[in-house]
Amino acid sequence: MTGMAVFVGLLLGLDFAGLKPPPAFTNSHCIDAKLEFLRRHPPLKPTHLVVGSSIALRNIDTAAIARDNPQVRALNGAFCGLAMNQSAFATRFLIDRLPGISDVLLLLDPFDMSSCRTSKTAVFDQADVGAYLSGAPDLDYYFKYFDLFSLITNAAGRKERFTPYGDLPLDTDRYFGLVYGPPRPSQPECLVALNAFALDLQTRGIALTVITMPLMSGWSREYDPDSRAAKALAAELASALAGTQARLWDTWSTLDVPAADFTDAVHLRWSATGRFTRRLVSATGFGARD
Amino acid sequence: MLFNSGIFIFGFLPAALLVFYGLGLLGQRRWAIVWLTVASLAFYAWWDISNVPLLLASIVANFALQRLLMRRRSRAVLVAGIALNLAALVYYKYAGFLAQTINAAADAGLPVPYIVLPLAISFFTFQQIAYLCDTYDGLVDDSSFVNYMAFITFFPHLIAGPITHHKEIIPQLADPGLARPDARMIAAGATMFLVGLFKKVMIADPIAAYANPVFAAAAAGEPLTLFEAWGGGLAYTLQIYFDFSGYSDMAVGLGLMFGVRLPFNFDSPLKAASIIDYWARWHMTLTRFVTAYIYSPVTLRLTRRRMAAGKPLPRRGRMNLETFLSLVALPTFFAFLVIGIWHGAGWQFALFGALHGIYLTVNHGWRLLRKRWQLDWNDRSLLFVVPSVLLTLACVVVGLVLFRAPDVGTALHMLDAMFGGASLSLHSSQLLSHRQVQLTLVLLAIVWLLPNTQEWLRGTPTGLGEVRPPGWFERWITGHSLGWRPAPAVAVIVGLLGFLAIAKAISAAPPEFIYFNF
Repeated sequence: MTGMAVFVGLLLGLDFAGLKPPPAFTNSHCIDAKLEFLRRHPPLKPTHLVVGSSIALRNIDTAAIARDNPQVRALNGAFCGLAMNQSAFATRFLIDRLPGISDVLLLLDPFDMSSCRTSKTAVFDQADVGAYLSGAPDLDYYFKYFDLFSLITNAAGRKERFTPYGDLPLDTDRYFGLVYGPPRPSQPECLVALNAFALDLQTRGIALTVITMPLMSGWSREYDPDSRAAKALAAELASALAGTQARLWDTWSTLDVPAADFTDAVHLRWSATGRFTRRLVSATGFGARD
Repeated sequence: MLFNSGIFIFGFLPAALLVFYGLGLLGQRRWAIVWLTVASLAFYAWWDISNVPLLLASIVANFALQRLLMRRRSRAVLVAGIALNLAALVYYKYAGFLAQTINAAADAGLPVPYIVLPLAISFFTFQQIAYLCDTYDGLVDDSSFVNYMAFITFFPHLIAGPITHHKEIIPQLADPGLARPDARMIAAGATMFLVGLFKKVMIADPIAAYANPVFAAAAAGEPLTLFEAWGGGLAYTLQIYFDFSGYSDMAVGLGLMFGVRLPFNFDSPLKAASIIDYWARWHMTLTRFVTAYIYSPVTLRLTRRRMAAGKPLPRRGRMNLETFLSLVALPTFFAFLVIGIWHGAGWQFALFGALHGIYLTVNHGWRLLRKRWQLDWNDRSLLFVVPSVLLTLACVVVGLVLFRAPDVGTALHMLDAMFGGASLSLHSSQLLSHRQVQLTLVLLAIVWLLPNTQEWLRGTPTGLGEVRPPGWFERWITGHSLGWRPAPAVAVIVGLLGFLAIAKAISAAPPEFIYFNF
């Protein structure tokens, strides 16, 4: 009883100080913070959804899509750190809750396609997260998803600041180094997940646009000088999407992004994302269609 | 079921305790022991009920052999008993590995059997071999089948030790005071259980999130920097220490809650200033078993053989190189090879044992040289202790890389990175973060400075075994009334620890995902 009282007191204190982190549904603060954002800012009937892993969350300025296409209500529904199978799971969860979605933009890089085998598809419990997003009291979830270390470190750590569209800007001038090592081959599990995802959206009458993320030129020089990995990824994605109505844009091979725009091999600094998003939209027509 | 599962903490344990002490208070001590055995078998069956017949058959067969040995001291019966136990162990644990090895070496095309390893077979096999050997040597008092069965199946030690000895458990089961509740013993047992649970779920499991990605990257053949490899190895060392010693604390605590004192299994091994000292503190009951039933008999036999051949023997701890190799190096290496292979079927485990055999041999050799050269250093000075502890820790980390790696190739890849075959880069990395470094330093401070569980409960009978004299930090804690005793302040501390540990144990939160800054 003493312990429970102290813990509740800690939560109340953190809440009072504005430091209370979200419950550890996934225990990945970036994902849990996004869920908290969606709880606090319920989306207003979005029609267009940007999905994927951190590259979709960080590199897309969703406001730019909406600015160029006033008829579009766009939402960034990406979560960081997800493999392809997990992105499909999270996207289906959002689409089930947001019945007005007509278009989905999926941004992929080779790293998203190489870890499905070891990544549990159900990245969170849909019933718990669904109730949480619907505004259920959150105290129970701090007990059910108890993790004191992550609670304290997330309370003391940097706060995630989302844009009103759900983007998570990397608002920095720093360059962190490449961080990402050599490309790993796509796993069949990821390609199967992508295929099933595309067919699922097709059945639901939702248009899917898949885009490969251009990687920093320094990374390509180091790990993919002959563009073998880039070509392989495009071919594998095309093969996985064959027979579906999804559209694939291999912008990794066709879009040149200045090295200065990157904070590491795959993530863009926020100041560059508006320009990058407009070029993507212009190339793919995402958001221009009704 | 696991000790850290909700079903165990809120279901099995309270029910087992209530019925056990209920029967004891009704004067049904014998039925209380039978209940303990039934509960232990249920605990074992929870994992996989199909393993229960093997456990029962092993117990019945060994008890029958023991009866035979009690009646007639027959070497043939002893050898047959040991062979039977080892045959079961080899079949279930090593048959697949042996077939693979023979196929690889001789292209024999043997079918590789897929055999599910029965839980705890390594533990109950060793215990029963010891029972047979001691019966043959006339060291076993008569015991009932009920007590023998309770000794082998007693659930606190059944799954992962400590490897108990019949001489320390069966007399306690035969004690007329068993199953009479002793509040202080139950409180001390609950404290040890909760401290062990805290170590397991609040420390070991979170630190695993730093070790696993490094070993996964090594298994995938990805390049590692020197600091990533050492960071991963050190994280795993801390993980397995807190995990296994936490489990052992839970086992000793659970034993106490049922009025049975189990032997200590850990004694702050990462404080060890030599590898010899380390093995006197790490998985102590395994070291004890191997020393008593493998190392000592082998050494004795070799000594007799040398005597018969007229070869020189050690005199006052001094010996020539040839004597050292045959009477120290050979049995040490052999004993540790057995320890390595006992841990698992794979060459990496054999290499782990062989490496520690070499460590021990070098350590023994160095001790002899110090004696011969009369290097009388002050072993307790910080100038000696600090480098010794750090060197021992480094050796342990290297050994545990072999232990943790899924195969020899992965281990060699890690070791290559640890010993200069890799970049010295300190660049941003997904495999080594500032937070990991900070956490590692905090955990090392805990390991090196704080008293261990049995030291904290000094003054109250807990496990079996010596408790070292208090260090300066423990004396400081005791001086500030923070030592364990049945008092309100301590109850609050234990209550807090217990809440954190149980809440984490039953939490649905997955292991924290360390996602760097992205």
